[in-house]
Amino acid sequence: MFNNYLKIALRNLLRHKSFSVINLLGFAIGMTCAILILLWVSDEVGFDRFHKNADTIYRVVIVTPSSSGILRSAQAPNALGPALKECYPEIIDFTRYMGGYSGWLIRYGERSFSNDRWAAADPSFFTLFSFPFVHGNPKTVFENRYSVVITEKMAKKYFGDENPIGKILTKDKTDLEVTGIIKIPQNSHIQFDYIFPVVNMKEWFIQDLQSWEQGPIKTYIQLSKAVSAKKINNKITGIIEEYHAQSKSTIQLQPLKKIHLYTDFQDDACNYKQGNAIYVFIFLSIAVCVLLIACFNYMNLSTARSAQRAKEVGVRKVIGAKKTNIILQFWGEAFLLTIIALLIALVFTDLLLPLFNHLSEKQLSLNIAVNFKLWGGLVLLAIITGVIAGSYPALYLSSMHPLAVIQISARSGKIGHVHLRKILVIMQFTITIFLIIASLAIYHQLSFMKNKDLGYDHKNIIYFYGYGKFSNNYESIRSELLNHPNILGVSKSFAPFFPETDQSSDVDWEGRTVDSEIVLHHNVIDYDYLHTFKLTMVEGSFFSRDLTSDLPQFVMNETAVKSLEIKNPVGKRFTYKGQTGSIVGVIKDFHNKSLHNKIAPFIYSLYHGPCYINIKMGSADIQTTLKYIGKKYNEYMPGRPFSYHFLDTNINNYYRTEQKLGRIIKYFSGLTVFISCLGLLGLASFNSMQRTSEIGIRKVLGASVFSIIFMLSKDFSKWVIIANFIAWPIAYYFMKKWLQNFAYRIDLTIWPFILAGGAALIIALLTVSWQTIRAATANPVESLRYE
Amino acid sequence: MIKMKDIEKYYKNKFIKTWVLRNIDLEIEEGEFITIMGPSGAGKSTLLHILGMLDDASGGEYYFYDHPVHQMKEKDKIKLHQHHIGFVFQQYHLIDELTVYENLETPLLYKKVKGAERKSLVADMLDRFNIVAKKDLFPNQLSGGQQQLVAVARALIINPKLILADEPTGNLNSRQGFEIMDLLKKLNDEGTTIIQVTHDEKKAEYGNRIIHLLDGWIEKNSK
Ligand SMILES: Nc1ncnc2c1ncn2[C@@H]1O[C@H](COP(=O)(O)OP(=O)(O)OP(=O)(O)O)[C@@H](O)[C@H]1O
Ligand SMILES: [Mg+2]
Repeated sequence: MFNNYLKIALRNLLRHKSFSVINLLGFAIGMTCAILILLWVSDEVGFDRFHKNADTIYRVVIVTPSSSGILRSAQAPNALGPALKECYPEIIDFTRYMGGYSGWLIRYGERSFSNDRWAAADPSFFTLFSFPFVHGNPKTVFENRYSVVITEKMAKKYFGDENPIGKILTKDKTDLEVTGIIKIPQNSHIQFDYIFPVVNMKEWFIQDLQSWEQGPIKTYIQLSKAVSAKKINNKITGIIEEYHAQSKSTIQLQPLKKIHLYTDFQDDACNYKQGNAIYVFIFLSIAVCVLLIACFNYMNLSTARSAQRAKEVGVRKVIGAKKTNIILQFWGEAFLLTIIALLIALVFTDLLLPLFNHLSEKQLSLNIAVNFKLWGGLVLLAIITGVIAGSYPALYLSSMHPLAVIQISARSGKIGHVHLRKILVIMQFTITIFLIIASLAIYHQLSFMKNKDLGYDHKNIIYFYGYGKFSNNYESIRSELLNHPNILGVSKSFAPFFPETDQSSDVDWEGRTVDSEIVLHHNVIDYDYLHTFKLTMVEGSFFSRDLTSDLPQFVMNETAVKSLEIKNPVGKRFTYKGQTGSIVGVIKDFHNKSLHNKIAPFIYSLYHGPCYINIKMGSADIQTTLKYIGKKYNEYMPGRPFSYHFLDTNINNYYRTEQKLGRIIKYFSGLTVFISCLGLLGLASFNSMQRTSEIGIRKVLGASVFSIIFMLSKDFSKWVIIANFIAWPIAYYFMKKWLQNFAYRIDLTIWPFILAGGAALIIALLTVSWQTIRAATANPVESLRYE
Repeated sequence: MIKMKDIEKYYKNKFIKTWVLRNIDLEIEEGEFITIMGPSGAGKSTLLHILGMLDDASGGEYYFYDHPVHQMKEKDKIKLHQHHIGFVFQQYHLIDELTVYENLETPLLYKKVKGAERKSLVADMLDRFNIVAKKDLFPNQLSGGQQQLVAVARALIINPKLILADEPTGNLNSRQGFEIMDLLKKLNDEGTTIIQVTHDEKKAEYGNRIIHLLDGWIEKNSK
């Protein structure tokens, strides 16, 4: 039986080549999209699951109520972890961790690098997590506080093929012994190149490890298997207040497996790309849509052809076929096609993976050894596609009465699926138009953000960390740098421009009337900050070398003034984290955060220690200017590589996720357009074939070529226009929602809608035009004779 | 073998009943060769379809070997049909995408006949109808008479008790027509019951009994 079906299926495939090609191509492209997206999704969803204890590890999230809403952050007080472990037996272990930052100079003999990313953690880090060790014992690598565990990649870079264990790396003047080599999988939210015991952070990062204030270090805990996280969470939620009465922060436990996709606050690690569950959902929906479109093509074309198959069905029934036999046969045909399509899709995927990896910034692979689960998924994909695509033809044809089928095919050869076909084409174009609108709107928002005036100058500004000597001689270095005609400003700030040094609700001011807690963001800067970033004052004056004072001076932005409700702020007393001084000026608001967020209330104070150096250059000759800066740098820091960042790159990184989304949606909407048009092409050719004699008669009766083209295109246009009316409100709803991610966003105008609809209509008409023109210009006598 | 009591058939169209068959009482013994005649539209094909269980009567009783077909479920009807009834049509109705061999094989596949037995049955049939040389050809590579020959062979391959032939010679030239008729006669002599529809008096004479239909009524039922 199977052979019989297979033969029929193959012979049909070969006999009706254009139908087969359209269907196969549609399926293959649809599946390629689906495979690429599934690879991406499984990578996203698989984050951090490789840890043996993945189910029982939680990250502590600190929740702080404030006037501007609830603030959430993974930066926990350093004393929290030890206290939790001591007080609660259900909490088996904890580790503090901070890392992912680069810029620290590490030397090995003559060689030195500063672009490796450092991290610090408690010794329990290696037993709580299960990063694979290449060398060394996870239980003992941190027994000595001056030890360091490095990644395989970093070991290669520093030591080549030599055995790295026992080698000495030097940070500043401290020698660190390499005690372990580990691998950090790509799908880990923790990323670094080398890691040392957290106790060293006391000296190297001014961290008080007994403090109950929120610092930059994060805390992970491991629960015993028997307990429910919810119960523990309820027990410990108020622990910070117990030790630190001023704090109103509470604790929330975030499951390790949810960190990557479900973290809804800005995670600070600079190298790791936070995921978003919504985007996983969006991409999955796109995959489903593209596949559905390909399935619709198949349903459409095979029902269009069902008149030709009806006779066969009737005959089979007369000679003894049961309904199930017929269903199986037509489903089998759909499967055959999807299996062939799957093979083609695998070739396509293999060819496209490098491009897709580039777009999505991932390292996905079809390698069966790595991804054997994937192959099960692929087979499932083919089966599901086959079931959906084959369902309608199978059920429809099998349910026909044998006589009806024989008689119909003997008579006119027309069976009415016109409605179904209409609906399927309309659905295809609805999806297509939706995706075009989405990519247009995303593009629009992205270019809006790119061109938005942020209220400060960010062009041609670089920043880098000014180490010891560089900081000690800062004033003279500054004037040397300013000697260069293309260096327009030099300024220091603790954090590279907008990320704050810290934030606190521990504030007070003269005439305070506001009761609710207000969290202020804080950055330490120097006198030249205003000038370097071309900021303007609205009141008072900025920090100045001429205006010295024994007490701390503060400058705040307009938003801070507003949220503190201070009238005439200049000259008022102000206290930040116990430091009391006065407000000297108010700075005009600028976008100190990404455009996702509203401008935050900021307070600035002066700082003279080592911190980041920001340099503003003219646009004249960046390369030589950079060389000049590098030369100056090396005069003070001989042998140290000069590495710097452009502020613009940083700003751009804020929108990286959206840019990625935009690019991927752009490509996929292109593909859906293509697949939909393939289907349309098939329908158009079928349609004109079926109407050959009608066209012939009309022409004999005197119809013009144009009127016939019009007649043949009318239906298709109507369908696309209806699709527009369905797609528009859906797209409006979703894009409106997406735009709400941005505090500063475009107004959704009618133009993306009109553009998408118009483009779809024109593309559809062009697609069918070839067939219709051919049909319309055919010699009527011949078409009649053909019938 | 077959007993019909008061069988009637009508089509409902916008509340109007169009009668196709009325008051059909019929008894057919095993081994008979029946001819149904009548003008176009008289209901001959319809009657044949009901006899072959391809169509349901609107009323009346139909017994096939004492099985009450009018009360049977679809599944059981298919089984009866699969095992006992072969159909031959005026338009041959072969499956275009299958070769002669495969066309003959298909009913056996639906009957779940095992591979070896299937092969020998098909080979027998090809042999018997002298079409061994044509076994790998597709229907459109055969003449009309050859196609009808294959159609008869296909009806016969399940070794049916009853063959229903609806104008089996209607599309053939007269020589081919009589060859098919001779074949049916031979089958009848070997014991198969045959019911044929024809407009041709000469071909009607092959049968042992002629039933005349007129406007759905049995006009004459004569030996
Ligand atoms: N599905 C249907 N709906 C309504 N009427 C039908 C249907 N099928 C058949 N008929 C009618 O039933 C009548 C009998 O049809 P049938 O095919 O049995 O005639 P026939 O005797 O075989 O004629 P012919 O010699 O032309 O083959 C015809 O009048 C036909 O119009
Ligand atoms: Mg008839």
